[in-house]
Amino acid sequence: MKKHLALLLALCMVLSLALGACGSKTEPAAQPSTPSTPSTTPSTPAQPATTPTEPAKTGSDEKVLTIGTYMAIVTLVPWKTTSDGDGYVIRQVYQTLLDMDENSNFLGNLAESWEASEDGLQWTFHIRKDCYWQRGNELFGDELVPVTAHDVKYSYEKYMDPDFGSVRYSDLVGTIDHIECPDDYTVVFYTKDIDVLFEYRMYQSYIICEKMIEANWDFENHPLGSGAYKFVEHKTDTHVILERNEDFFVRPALDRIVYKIITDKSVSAIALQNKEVDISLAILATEVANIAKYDYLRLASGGTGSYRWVGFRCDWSFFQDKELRKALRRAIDWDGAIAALFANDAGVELARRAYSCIPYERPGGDIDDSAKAMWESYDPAAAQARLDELGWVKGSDGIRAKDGQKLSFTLQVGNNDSARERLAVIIASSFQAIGVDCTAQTAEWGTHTTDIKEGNVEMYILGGYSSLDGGLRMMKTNATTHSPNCGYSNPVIDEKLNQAWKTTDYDARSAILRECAAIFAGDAAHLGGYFEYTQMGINTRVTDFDHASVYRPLCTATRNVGVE
Amino acid sequence: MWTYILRRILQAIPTLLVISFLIFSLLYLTPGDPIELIMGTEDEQISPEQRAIVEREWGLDKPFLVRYFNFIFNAARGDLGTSYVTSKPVFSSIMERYPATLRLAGSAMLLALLISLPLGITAALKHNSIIDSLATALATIGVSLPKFWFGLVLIITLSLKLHWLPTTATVNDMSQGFWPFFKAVIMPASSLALGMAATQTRMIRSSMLDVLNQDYVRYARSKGLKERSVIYGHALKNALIPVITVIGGEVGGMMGGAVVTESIFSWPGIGRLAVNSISKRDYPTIQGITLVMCISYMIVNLLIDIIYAWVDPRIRLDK
Amino acid sequence: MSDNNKVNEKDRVMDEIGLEALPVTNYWQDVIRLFTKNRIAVIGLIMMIIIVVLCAGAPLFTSHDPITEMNFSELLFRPGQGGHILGTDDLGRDIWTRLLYGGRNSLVTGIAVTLISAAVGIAIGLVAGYFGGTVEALLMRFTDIMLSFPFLIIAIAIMAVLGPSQRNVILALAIVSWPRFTRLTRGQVLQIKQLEYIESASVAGFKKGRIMFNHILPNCLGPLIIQATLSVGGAILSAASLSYLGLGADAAAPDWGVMLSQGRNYLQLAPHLTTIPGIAISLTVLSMNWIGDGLRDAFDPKMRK
Repeated sequence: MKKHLALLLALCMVLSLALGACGSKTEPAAQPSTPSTPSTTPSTPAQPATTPTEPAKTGSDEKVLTIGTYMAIVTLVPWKTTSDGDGYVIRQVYQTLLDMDENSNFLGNLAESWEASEDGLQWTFHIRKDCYWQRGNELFGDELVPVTAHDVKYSYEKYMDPDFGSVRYSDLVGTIDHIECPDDYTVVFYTKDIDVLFEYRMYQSYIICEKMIEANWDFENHPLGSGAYKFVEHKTDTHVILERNEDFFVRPALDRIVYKIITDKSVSAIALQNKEVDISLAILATEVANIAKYDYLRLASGGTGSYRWVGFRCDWSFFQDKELRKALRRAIDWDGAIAALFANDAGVELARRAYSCIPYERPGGDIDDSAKAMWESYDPAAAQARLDELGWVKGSDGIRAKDGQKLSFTLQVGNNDSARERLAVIIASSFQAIGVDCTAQTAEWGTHTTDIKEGNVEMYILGGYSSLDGGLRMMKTNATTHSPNCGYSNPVIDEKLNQAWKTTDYDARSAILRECAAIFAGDAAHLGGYFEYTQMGINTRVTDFDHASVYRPLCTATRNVGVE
Repeated sequence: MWTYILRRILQAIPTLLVISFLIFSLLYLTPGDPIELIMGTEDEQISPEQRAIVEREWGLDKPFLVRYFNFIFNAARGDLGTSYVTSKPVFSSIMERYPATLRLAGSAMLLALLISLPLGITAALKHNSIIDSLATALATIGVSLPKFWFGLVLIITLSLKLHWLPTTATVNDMSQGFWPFFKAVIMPASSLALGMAATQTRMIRSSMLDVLNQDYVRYARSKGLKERSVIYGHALKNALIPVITVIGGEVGGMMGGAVVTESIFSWPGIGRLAVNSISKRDYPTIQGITLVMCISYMIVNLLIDIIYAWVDPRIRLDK
Repeated sequence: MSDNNKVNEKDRVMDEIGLEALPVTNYWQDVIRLFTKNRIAVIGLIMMIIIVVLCAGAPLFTSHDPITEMNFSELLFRPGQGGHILGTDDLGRDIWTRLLYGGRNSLVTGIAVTLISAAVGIAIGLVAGYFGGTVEALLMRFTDIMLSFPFLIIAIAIMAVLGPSQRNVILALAIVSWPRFTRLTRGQVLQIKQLEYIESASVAGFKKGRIMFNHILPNCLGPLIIQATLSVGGAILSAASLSYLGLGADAAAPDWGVMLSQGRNYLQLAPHLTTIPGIAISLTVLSMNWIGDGLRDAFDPKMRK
């Protein structure tokens, strides 16, 4: 008798687990936006109010902005960083000559104004006279030392020294011939050739000074620059704290910035809902609706779409056949797939289908119908018919083959983005449905990049190349690396791209790029792709945060982010 | 006893040599290019000149064996090298995180024992009762659902719905007193403890049942000894061997960090360091972590063996 | 030489005596009788059989296809909605179908990993515990080494060298899970080999192998069976983490562990994505547990009086 009871109970346990979890599904809807009152926010009573680890939330006059970042801090050394996560911090502590807005326009930062010579080979920057190196540290003490043109020259020359180990080395050496300082606040760059992206490079490199290098300053543990916020503390894998630089030419609106490192994006979204952070940097599609229902939160997109695409290895065996690539393209329901991957109840557009490989917001990305016309409509039946026509006929095992060779390949995707992984599943499943033996394989990131580089994958999903020169590098023949376009090469495009590179006029350059993108799309080097608009969740108490990016300085001449 | 411990310490030296060689070779076989992964971005490729410089700086241009012997030579002097990624000494990077890992592991273990000991013992004494099935059900669920599930469910209920606890750990030690630490550690520790408690409960129950059927326990009972003293004086101690082994394995495992739990609860432990350095192919850090892991395992296992001898004096260590 | 012969001779005699004393058929009949008498164990067995039949005969129980039937207009249906018994997942696939087909991979992985790692681990643990001394030191330090390897590195290396496939998933998981069995077995052996009957067996001149497998092993089966039954669940979950790392053969193929981990972002939005495969794994582990308990009791010499 007892055994029966025991059995029943054990089963009940398992079932209750199921019901408990399923039942909670209706809860979020039934319990609409009831934002927690300040008194119920988790505050730790035993904690002293002044502790830097707990941002002041209630009552205190201190203006603290807490940013939840999912990216670990890799390095805080300004010439070694490649990660956005580092950039969020470094951009506030150091200055660059120029800043860039959401429409790819350049704004002054350390430079007040700048101009290029007629021939485009000489760039002159006039530097602000009211920028100083941060005080209150062992290096500068209380002395107010201005940032001069010599510091700019010194920084760039250091970055162009191969032994210094800057990650920007090859970019800079490739374009800068030499640098001169006619006076303390003017710096002139002489370039080797016309470089339409010169301003972009001036946005990428941070300014340091000779005194730091000579003193063998510990950049990793004590970042020190001339930016609006001073470094206070970095607790590994926990947080970074910055405080206001009182010497900055405008008064930064925040007393403190706290970067909380919250690796898990779902948890970061919960922390935002709980008011533990003011900004959460990447809201997953599945969390968008949760954020949207609170009246004290808003969503904002980063502005520029990030390209994610499925590419053929165009120089591999049967993928050399453009017609096969085009036939396969018809089997994918791109609009449906993108809608499914980024579905959310709040109706926020998280991704847009890509017809061209240049982001809509970048020069040449504002496609006309020519690029769109290169795409056949989704029609799996037509794809099947076309494959039959091309000689790829279904065998007895249901898999298409031609000349004894099976239409069988692997689609590899890196394990860093769940949307891409799901896209791989959609594509492989769609192919399997029309007799194409495609295996979707998730690969560890390091392995994935090596495999692509060495040409070990037939089809892959990658992202990136959405920066100003992304499209250019994407479409160009590249013998040394497989990464951007995987063996695609078209002399017509190469010629046009060289021309675009030398065209300083924005509209003319855009037109050439647009033309290239249309040819590229027509050649079906990519199976397709989308532009992702990463959403940030922001508490409405954050002010002056119109362009949702913390990768830009939060306090400049034109922008000063604060909190209410 | 002391000679035994000394011998085990001496055994550690060849073990560490073997594991360092194995991890060195394994990393050599593992695809992934540290220079590309650390210096490059998804957008940016690294130039050949730059690559040559970095290779020289990191010593990657030297042959495999030269690199290995350099590593051994330096490690023998207590220098595990510097991380490719941060240029910080590997040893200090590991030690920066190790205490947090130990605190989480300790709390989780304590919690697991608090659940499993009473539950396991009761389940054994009340064989086939409700408590017994409850213990089985707990164990089943404990091993069948992944840690991220427990972690996220805890955060959703305790932080988002009930506002009892903060979502992320702001402290990981007692520097601000017990309560802040408790609030920070209770959720990650619980999500780790559930899985451990599952195995422990089952183990305790089973070996208690075994022991209770042994002749000497029957004899003790028949002699009219009090039930309590039979159970806690004789049975429990003898039932502990498999339980200790299981606990030891789990403690050892947690020394390497609990990656999933650490990521979900933003706990600054060694697991996240390990995953990050593996994804960047930061060889010195991976080697360092492996060595530290190996040492931790050997210490834990030595302790277990000593506890064996203490629990069951017939087990002679020196033999 | 002559010494050896003598021992063998003695052994042969003992073997005969042993066989006579306890006929093999009787022993197994006994085990089966004891097992079937245990109701919970039988229920566990029936549950297991049902699960296996459902998974093996998947096409009989569903009309959908687990991979190619995506329907973007039927995303995240709740159980019962739109004719889908257990609803649909984030790509509009029928969850019931994926559960049935997924069980094939998951059961094979879970059980194979457990069997291989248990066999290897128990053998090494028996030898180490029984022989002691240098043999033990060598074997146990070897397990220390295996335990301290970062799992991720092993997985990535195996994937790179051998290529992704279910067989290699099983291999990778077995490589990392056998040391647990070794340590557990050795701990038990250390305790049991002190018991009088083992000592008397060796004094009587029984072969070492025989003592190990016939006398020591049955007495330490209890904890091992528990570890084994619980590790089935662990293996299914770990296989999912491997497929996330790229060791899984096909990301589109259904698998319980993968279903669970892919549903992680839907905990609030559509919790059935994680709970359903979770329950499937739970029920499997539960039935294994019950079978395991029954087996333990059936094999345990002390329970057989």
